Amino acid sequence: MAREILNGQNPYETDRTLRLFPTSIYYPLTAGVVMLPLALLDLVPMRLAFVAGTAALFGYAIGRSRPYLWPTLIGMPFFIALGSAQWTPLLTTAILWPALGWVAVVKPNLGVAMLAGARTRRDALLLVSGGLGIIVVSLALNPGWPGDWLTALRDSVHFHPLIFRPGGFLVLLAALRWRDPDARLVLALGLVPVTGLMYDMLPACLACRTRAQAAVLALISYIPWAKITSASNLADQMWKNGETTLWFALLPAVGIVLLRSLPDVRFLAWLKHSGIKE
Amino acid sequence: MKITPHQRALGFALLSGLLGLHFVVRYLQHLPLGAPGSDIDQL
Repeated sequence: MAREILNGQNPYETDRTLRLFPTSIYYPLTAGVVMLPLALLDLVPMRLAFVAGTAALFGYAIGRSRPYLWPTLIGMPFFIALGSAQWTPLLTTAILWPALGWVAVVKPNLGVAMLAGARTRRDALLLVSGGLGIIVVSLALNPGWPGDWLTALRDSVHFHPLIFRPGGFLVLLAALRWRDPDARLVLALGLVPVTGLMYDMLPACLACRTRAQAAVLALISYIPWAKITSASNLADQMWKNGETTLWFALLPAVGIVLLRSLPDVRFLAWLKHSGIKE
Repeated sequence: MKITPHQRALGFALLSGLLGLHFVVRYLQHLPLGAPGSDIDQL
């Protein structure tokens, strides 16, 4: 996409068969604009720079801002994000460092979740204004891209909110703590359309406030590892993956957020003692 | 010697970056470029 922008082409109109990954482009042009600095590289160095670079940035942000989240670095959402060269490590970094909030615009579904989870009005303003800046640049490069992008999305079969999966309604419990930015983040992660793969739930790790919580979240994410989800078509496969992601990545984060509402009674003392309840 | 927050963060960054490197190498070894599951070709 970024290379096609550099060559003055419309990425949404390029012959799919010329692509190594011959599907429609589901990303907005803003993603290509942000990738422009890497467009000068070949595909392999580009992948290396993108994956290792965003992973290192995420690691730095965790180490600097929330070192107790280190178990996240060995959890499945992070591993799957690295394996499929996803944006979520960078987007999660942007939640920790609001000055990077403008990257939310590369993936508007998660961008909405990031906005919902903004801790301050200033953070939200940085995200929106920075994102608008990228949108203006992208429109200057290709004024018709929003229409092309929406057409591609309409043709897609695998973007559905996790809330529609069996048991997904439980995500709504997070709304009970709507004043808590972590609760708003996990709630929004359940409401926005996603592919269903676990990488999109990496931001949910930010709901953790102790090392024990982060460890529990990372451990639970391994439970479905042995179960290889296969289906005859992309839509079914992603739907099934979404069920796994809901139960083993998002709902545990919802649970962690809800634990904050529970009173410190003796019955729950072991949770407090183990650090699972802060 | 006490580890400063910056040094700790650099350590985390180094480990995460190496992990990223590992996944890219593993991907290149096992799958052709642009195989389903990869979005990098789209970007």
